Amino acid sequence: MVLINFCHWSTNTNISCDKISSDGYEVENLISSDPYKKRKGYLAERFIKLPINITLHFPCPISIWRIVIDPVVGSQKSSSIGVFAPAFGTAPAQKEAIQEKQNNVSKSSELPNSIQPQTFSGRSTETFVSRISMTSPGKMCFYDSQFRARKPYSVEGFNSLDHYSFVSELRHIRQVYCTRNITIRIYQTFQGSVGAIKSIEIWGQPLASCPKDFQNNLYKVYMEQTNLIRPNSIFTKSDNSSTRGKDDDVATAKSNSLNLYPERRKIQDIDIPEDFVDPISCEIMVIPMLLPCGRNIDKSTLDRFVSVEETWGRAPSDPFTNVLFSSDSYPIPNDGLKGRIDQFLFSNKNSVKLQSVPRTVATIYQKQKTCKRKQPLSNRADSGDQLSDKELNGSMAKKISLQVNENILGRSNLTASSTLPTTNSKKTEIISKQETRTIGNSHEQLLQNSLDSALSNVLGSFPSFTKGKSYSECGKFGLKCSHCHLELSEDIVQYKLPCTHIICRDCLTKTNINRTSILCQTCGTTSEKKLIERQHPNP
Amino acid sequence: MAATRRLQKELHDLRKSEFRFFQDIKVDDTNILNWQGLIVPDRPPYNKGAFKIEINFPAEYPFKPPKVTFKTKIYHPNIDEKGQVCLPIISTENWKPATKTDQVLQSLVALVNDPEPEHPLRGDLAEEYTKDRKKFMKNAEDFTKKFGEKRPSD
Repeated sequence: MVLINFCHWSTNTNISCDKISSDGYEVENLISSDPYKKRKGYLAERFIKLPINITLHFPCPISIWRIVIDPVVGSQKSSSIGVFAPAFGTAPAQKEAIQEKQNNVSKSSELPNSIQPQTFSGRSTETFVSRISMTSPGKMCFYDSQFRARKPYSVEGFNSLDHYSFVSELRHIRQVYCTRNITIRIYQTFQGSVGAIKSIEIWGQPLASCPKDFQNNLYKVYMEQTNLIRPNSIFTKSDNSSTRGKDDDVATAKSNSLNLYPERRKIQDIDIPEDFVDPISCEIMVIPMLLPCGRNIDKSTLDRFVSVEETWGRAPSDPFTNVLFSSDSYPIPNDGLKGRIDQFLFSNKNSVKLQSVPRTVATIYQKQKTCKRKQPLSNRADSGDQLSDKELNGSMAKKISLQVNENILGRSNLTASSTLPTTNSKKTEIISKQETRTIGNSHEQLLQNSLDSALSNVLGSFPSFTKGKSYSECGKFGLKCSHCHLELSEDIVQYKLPCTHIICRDCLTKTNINRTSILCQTCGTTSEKKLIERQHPNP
Repeated sequence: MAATRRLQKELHDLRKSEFRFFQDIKVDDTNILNWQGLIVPDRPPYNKGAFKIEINFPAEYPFKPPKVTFKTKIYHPNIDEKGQVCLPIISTENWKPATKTDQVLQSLVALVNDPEPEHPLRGDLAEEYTKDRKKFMKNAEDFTKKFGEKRPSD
């Protein structure tokens, strides 16, 4: 039996912060039961001025053994962190009474911030306990050397502080061995990064004076939950394998220690598949390029190689075979491999070994977002089964393109281009009308929609602009096959010659069976058969 | 540093392969760009001793070639008194980043075993090598016995 981590969600500890946090990196993440949120940690908003105070409010008075803080979230690092305890009256009972009052205040007002004016109103309400400043932020541990574990809790065998980059002793004052609040203060950050905390662990035990029922309940729930989580955690497999074959005592001790220092479990050597490694730089590839010789190297390596070759006045060539790249043998991005590498990186994103690998994949959340964004763009032509929103956009784009075409017929190209802005303004008017109709969408989505629709409109109007007489336009006046002069309707399969004239399927197959080229009867140009394209009538 | 990962891998592979002609690889923990080792040729007259060499990798490795120098004096037409050696595979203009250090070492051992008097760094020795092979062999053997390192026991 070890101590309780009061930052575990099952302990009902409250957390609050006096500054705004970045989206998705709320301070609540630090005690969240959602492992995804918990992994993200806390980041302050960009414009926040230091210091940042994070206050933890425990369900009962506790005595603290250790506070373990990981101040590194990705590239954001906090470099100086202090611990404060509230300064209150001398008698613990009195202190509790005050805190109870505070609790009620915060509960009644339903605002977590309402507690802060009291906690942060001035230095006088809090006592400095300890502080660590680091030049290269890493895992830090504040510890109370005079901590005495009370049964059933124990700290036997866990006194080593070796796995922490920075350690500092907590002042052994009443506020440390008898407290309900702890404030973590971020004083400084590393090289202009924002305030960041990846995880906080507060190991301690409830005071003996707490009601027995409460203590038992807390202990039971905590143990149940931590045991419940363990089988699901990613690291259990390695736990089991590492302890297999040893006697039970050692095994439990080990799993307990692993439970105590979750970060240690992450340091597992993972095997990086050979295929993912660039054979020249021996790093994991970020953008794998498939070379003509069949090997893959990273784009950065290839670029570097090409630039070195350039200094010798040599043309780009295959780094392995020295065969020059040509128009039909050149490196291409290996999308399949890229996908596999990304998946590998994503599934091993907690690995220390892979942390330095630059990656182009974002989280799942962002991935979905980009997919959403791509859709309307790729559906420029707009198939009929899209939502009314997009349909409108599509038909609008056509209308506008027709307008532009009419303009061209009458005027020169220059004036036509000058009319574009006016059509644009019309578009935006219609778009804004659409936007007002879509209710319940977030601001971000609206912005996204309008950007996409604006883009697709602008792009959609271009083809007809450049082609001049597009097929859809011809169709209006009744289109005829250039050979048999048959009126082409939508149910006749049509082919387009390189000279833009249309031929029906019958003429193409009957009259030109054994020839590789075909003569257009309308304009008299011969064109190769392989350049003939199937023409689909526009919806 | 870009070179580190590649050098770590090459060193690991080299130590694992137990390359017979290059032994006793020493690498400073703080500077992986500097390797030392022992060349152990198997052809007379150099098979009476071993030769200490130093390989210096530039920080731009593998885009720039490593430099190889002999720390032990050697009586060889292609290696000068300062220990510099002319190896086409690691010349700046011929260098290919895909070349592995074990390939460099193999070609170095091949050069030591079979001198190339057509491209000498020491003209006098090249002349002796082509004109009076017997005398060259005797001189080289004496030289190797006098200055060469002790061969590691197999």
